[in-house]
Parts: sequence; C-alpha cells; structure tokens
Amino acid sequence: MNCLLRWLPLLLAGLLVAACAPAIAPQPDPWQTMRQSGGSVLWLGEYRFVPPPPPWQELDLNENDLSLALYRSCDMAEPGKFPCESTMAYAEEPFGYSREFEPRAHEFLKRYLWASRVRFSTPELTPIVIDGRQALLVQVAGEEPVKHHRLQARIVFMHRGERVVAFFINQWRADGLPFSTADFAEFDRFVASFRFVKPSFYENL
Amino acid sequence: MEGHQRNLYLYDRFNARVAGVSRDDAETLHHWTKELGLTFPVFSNPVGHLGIWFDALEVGSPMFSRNTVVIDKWGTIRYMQRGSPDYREILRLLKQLHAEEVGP
Amino acid sequence: MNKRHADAISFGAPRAMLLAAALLLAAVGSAVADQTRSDLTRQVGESTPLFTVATSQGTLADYNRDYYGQYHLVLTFFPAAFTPI
Repeated sequence: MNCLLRWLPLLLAGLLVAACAPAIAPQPDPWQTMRQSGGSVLWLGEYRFVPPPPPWQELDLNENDLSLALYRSCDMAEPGKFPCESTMAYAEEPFGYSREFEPRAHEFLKRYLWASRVRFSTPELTPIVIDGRQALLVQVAGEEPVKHHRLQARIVFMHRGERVVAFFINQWRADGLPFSTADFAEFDRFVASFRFVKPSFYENL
Repeated sequence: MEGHQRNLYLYDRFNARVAGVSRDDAETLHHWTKELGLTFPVFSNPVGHLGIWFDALEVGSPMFSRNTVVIDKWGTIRYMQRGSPDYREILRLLKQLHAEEVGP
Repeated sequence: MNKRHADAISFGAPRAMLLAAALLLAAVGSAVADQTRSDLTRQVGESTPLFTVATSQGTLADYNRDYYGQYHLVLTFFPAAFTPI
C-alpha cells in the first residue's frame, strides 16, 4: 500500500501527460516541402541552410529578389505597446552598391531601418572567416530618439561571385528590456549553415 | 536608382550608360544624387516632354511614373517597361545588344 | 523694309508660336482622350527623339553628342527626388 502511495503522484503525472499528448503534438514542419537530409532546406534551388526552429517563422517579403526573412516576437511583448521582436534575413541585394565590404557597410547603414528613425552608434567592424570565406561582421546599436526604443543589430557581409550579399539580425526592445543572446546564437548558426548551391544570375551573365 | 548604381560595372561591360529622369530641377537632383552616392547622371526635365515621348507622364499627374526605356547605340528604342526597373531583364537585353554590336 | 521682312519680324514669330500652341493643344487633347498614351509617345522599334537636358552633374546631356553611335542608353523615369513614391 505504501509503495502504491509512493508511486501514485508519478502515475497521475503520467496519466496527465498521456491525456495532454495530443495537445502538445509537434506542429507541422513549415519547411517540410524544402527539407533535405540533415535538416537543411533548399531555397528556390539557390541556397541551402538550416532554418532556426520555431517560434522563428518566415516573413513573406512579397519581393522577387531571392531574399529571405525570418521573424519572431518574444515573451516580453507588451500588448498595445512596442512589440519585442527579432528579425533575421538574407539579402541578395543589400542596401548600397560597393563591391568591397567596408564601404558597402557604411552605405548599408545609411539606409538600413531608415524608416524606423533609428540613430546608430558607431559600428564595430570585424573581418571574419566563415567556412573558409572572407566576411565582414558589423555590430551596431541604435535608438529611436523620441520613443527610446532600442536596437541591436549584427550584419555579416559576404561575396557571392563579385557582388556583396548580407545576412543581418536586428532586435528591437522597449527601453529597459534585455536583448537575447539566444537569438544572436540562432543567427550565427543560420549564417554558418548557409551555402550557395549554384552560381548566381550575375555569375552566369 | 541604387540598383543601377550596383550594376554600373556590368553596364560598362556591355557598353551601356544609364541615367535617371525626373521633373525635379537640376539643383535638387544634384543634392539628391550626392546624398545617395549615385555617380551616373540624372536628367532634369521639368517641362516633361521626355515623359510624354517615353510614356512616363500620365494626364493629370505632376510627376513621372516609373518607367524604364532602353535605346540602343543606333538610336532605336528597344525596350519600354512600366513599373520599377527589372534589373535582370535590363541586363539580359544589354548583353544581347552588346552581342549585336560586337558581332559573331 | 519690304512687306515680306515686316511679316517675318512682326507677324512671323507670333504665327509660329500660334502654330506651336495649336500643336501642343492637339497633343494635350489627344492625351486627354487616351488617359495613358499620347500620340507623341514613341513605341519600341521607333527612333528615339533627340533631346538635350540639364543633369544632376551640372552638365548638359545631348543625346546626339553623348550617346548616339557610342553607347546603349538605359533611362529610368521616376516620380521625384527625396520621395519613396
């Protein structure tokens, strides 16, 4: 009897989990149709990458330039107030025009989030190597000067052929809310996993 | 316009030049192109006759609508397309024009 | 001054202006009739009209002098500087 009493809570917990099982069944994989072996997805026959897991979801850019964006809101969102959110993207044609990283970074930041009225601090530029390829990492903070929403962004410039492409993530937070190191880590994994599977339009031109 | 700036090196390869056209005065265009860092010219056409000729001025509108035209080096209009520039389509055409120019 | 010269000076120019105005009105009239295309609008395959315009670079662009016989030319019309339209 004692033994049964000892195991009863565990039994009840087990029954509870079993009852809830249908409710917590895994969501359908949003990338299913593009999923390859090893967990990566093949995007429009152009790129292969490992997408970040839910709650990251794809954003419909309604554009036709082979760019890709992912979004997640975070648990700290205050309904009716500024949302707490992170966005990461691959841009085939990032703002600016130079084919060298450093001038392109400065051109990019002139237009990046321009409509959000963000004022950037001095960006930190660090040459890095990703999968044996030269890249430039740009880390920058910013603030909306009136509402005091704060921003942290990380941008990675790489070459595809002779042109510059970019990966970026930005995190917007209301003043006082912390930024997520986990979101930056997801971004780094996304960038590291990214491969071009064929020469670009420009390389074939 | 930034897309054209990005493609200038390719236009060079295909022996092509590019220009923007608007109804702004030249002084305004000077400041604007400087701010954007555009190194190709933007034409000032306040009267708007270029817009009439190249189908970029709708009746009742004070401004040009977006429209891209390609004129080959022999003076023939080869392409007119409304809307934002389709840069890839333009590049493919310029490549073809360059092939016509240099021959087989 | 004979009559012909007087005509040329005192009447010739206004007459030319009247003709130009009539042509312009005709053009505007046909454009109103067709909300999108004017009779003056060129088509693919036709010759470009010649033009000379001021540029953002403080120069004049003259199609015949600067492009004809030398370069293919891409022209992108847009609404206005400093607008996202």
